Amino acid sequence: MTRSRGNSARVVDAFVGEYASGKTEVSINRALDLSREFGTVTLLDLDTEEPVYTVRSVKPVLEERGLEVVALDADRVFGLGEAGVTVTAEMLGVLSRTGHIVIDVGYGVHGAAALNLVEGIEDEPQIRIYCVVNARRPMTSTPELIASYLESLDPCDFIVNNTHLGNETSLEVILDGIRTVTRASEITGIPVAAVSVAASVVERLRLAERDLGAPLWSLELFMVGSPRL
Amino acid sequence: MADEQKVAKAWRSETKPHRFCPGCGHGIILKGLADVIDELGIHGQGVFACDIGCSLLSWDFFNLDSVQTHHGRTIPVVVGMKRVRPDLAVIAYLGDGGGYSIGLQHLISSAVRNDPITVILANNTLYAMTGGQMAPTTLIGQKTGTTPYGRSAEDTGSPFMGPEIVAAAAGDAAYVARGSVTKFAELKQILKKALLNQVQRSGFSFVEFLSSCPTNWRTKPADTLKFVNEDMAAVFPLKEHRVPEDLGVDG
Amino acid sequence: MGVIQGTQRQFMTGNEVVAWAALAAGAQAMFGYPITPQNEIMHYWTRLAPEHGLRFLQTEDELSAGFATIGAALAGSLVFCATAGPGNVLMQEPISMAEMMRVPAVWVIQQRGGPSTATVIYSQQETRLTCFGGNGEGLRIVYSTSSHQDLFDYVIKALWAAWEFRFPAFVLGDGYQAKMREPVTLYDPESAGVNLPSVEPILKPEGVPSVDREPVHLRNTFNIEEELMDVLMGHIRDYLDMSSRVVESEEHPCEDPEVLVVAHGVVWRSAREAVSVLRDQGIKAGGFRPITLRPFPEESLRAAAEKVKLTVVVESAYGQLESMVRDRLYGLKVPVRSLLKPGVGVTAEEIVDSVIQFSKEV
Repeated sequence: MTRSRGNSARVVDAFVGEYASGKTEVSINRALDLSREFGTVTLLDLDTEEPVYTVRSVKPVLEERGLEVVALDADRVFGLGEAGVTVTAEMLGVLSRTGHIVIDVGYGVHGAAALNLVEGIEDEPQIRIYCVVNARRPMTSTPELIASYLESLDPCDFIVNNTHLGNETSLEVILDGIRTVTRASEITGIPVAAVSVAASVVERLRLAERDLGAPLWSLELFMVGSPRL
Repeated sequence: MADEQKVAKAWRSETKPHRFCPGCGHGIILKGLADVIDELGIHGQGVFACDIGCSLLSWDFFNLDSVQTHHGRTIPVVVGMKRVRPDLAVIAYLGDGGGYSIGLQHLISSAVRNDPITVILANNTLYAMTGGQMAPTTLIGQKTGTTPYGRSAEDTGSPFMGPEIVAAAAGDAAYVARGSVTKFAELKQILKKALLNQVQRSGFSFVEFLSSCPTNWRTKPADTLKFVNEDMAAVFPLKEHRVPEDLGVDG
Repeated sequence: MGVIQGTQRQFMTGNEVVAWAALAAGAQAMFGYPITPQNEIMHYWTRLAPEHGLRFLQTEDELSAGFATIGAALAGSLVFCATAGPGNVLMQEPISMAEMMRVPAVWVIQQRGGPSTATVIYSQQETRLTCFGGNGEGLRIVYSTSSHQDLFDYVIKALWAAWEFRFPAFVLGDGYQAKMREPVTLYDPESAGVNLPSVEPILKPEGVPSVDREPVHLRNTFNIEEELMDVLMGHIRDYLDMSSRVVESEEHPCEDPEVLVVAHGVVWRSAREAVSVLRDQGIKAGGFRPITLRPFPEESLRAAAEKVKLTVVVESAYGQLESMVRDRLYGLKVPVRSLLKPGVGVTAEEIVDSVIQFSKEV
């Protein structure tokens, strides 16, 4: 069930998922991949809850890599979690831009409904919603839990299997994750679009040589280290 | 050859565009307040105090001396100011969290004392900035960060009726009302009376405005307005609960 | 039968770990009020609540959250509370009651910048407040965690210790730990042989008062100074008696150390790394980490400091840990210097540079 994009249609990919599932890392990498292939890509930071670990914190780095990044500037974020992770008209109007668009939706009890804030989203024919899942997180650690999460909180078009255990990610973690997420995909009928893995792990475990049941997205990590604004 | 914009003196251009989200009710209330301060000619006396939460983003909104206080403690701060400087026109600006939860005792106590202050509260049914937790005014069934399955009346009671309760606590000298950011003309009238009651009659004023938070409600503009005008207004009636007889309002 | 089957290595944020640890220990209730950066503890607790029959109430403010926690503990519930920053300041009122009335309640503190509202991010500026914040003698058990594994282990331990020794117990984390993501092993404490809290009602145990048993009458008001002192000294004796069972510290020792780096909480991570770097550079550094800040591991610290020529205290506060260290090292000749960065994280490089600089000066 892949929506056909047509030749000239642009990409609008939105990433939702559990808290700390890896949405931001995956969206950044997706945006960079698209920009290598297609040119102008805008990455929108739609996280209104977390003060740290968002696209905003690495905006300058990403802009240097050629991405257009729409996020609150750190100096406009006043008082942070107390009073200031707001959205701007520029953020909400992102679909009016030309070129491809990747949206990091952020977390919250309303899940993918956060996309309602983006003007014109309901008329956007190319929108594809990916739910990022890390099967090594307690709330999404079994096929049943993942299926129930996909259905209740974050209805989506695709799953991105981002199962990992930080710097302890082993082959077993990856393969186990694939088994778990594949089963969840079978239960819900939502296909797995990709298995995303940190580039260093891909290299260490030689994952490119394996059949992981879905395309492999190799991730360059940006969200590492101490929390930054 | 720039257009000469008529902007209220109290409105501080240097801090515009403001930091509120598009569609946020705060911007509307504060603009109304700036207009009314000018219309009443009290720019020279006004002092503005805000709470913690999204109301905090108003700390440099006006060309008024302003102070950001602690969560729920804005009222005691302006009470202290007014006690020693009765010439000031003091304004306490709160959200529903600061006003009806942690600061509720101060709101009631001040109403009972008939402190000559003006308290303005923006009600958006949740603790917006800390991640959208439940607030006293969260509607039944509404999902929030601490009511992930929807608010239950059995567990946490019904939505808090602020002006109704404050009106009961306050006396005849108070002005207490509820308006909405979707009704701007009435909003300004309410603000005008709330300020006049302080500067003309040294009485206590408390006004609540139904306010919008599309960012945390995750609603499109039409649904945002619907939530305010239909869902919220059905629970929180728009009316003036206490109007002192001799409160005069110039045109 | 634990909530957690077997052991599971999971990738989590600190706040979630706290909720899961409390659940694993058998905690039944949580009270709280929104304040960054601990909100996710409440978010996860409320998500887990229906399945595990947990109780939760978001109260009107921190004062009521603290007093409700006390009420629940008195009623015999394994209960905890969480807060940060200005909320921690408000909590000192109920905590003082818990100290004097020996209420077994647990608070998780995720420190943020202070004083007052300041930042929502991080600091170690609530160290003194959490240890001594009330109008009393600091009869508290305070664990300072430096990793998610610590958060898991010590939330369970704090719940046990509060009930075992009947003093309010604290897990002192911070905004970085709350938000950081790292692997952690979740386990069932019972299966792991870890002490589980033994809980019983303090008010309304079995039986009808004055019929089956004497009524329980609790108070904390005294008429005469001497009476207060008697009661208080009883508590203090209990506190001192339990200290040796509770006190904990960790060292990153080396042979013939010349410099001792002292840090707690998340700064210990950088301190450990700095000590290794210094050794590689030929400087004989050792590290000392108090795990319990109350009771403070004075004996172990003195033993470690006696051997060295310089002690360097590092913290994200302006002297809160330093004063505790100086106080405990009184009488020793070793010079004490400090790297103080209130509200800001400290890197290993900064510690290495400081130690080298101080070594030249001393």
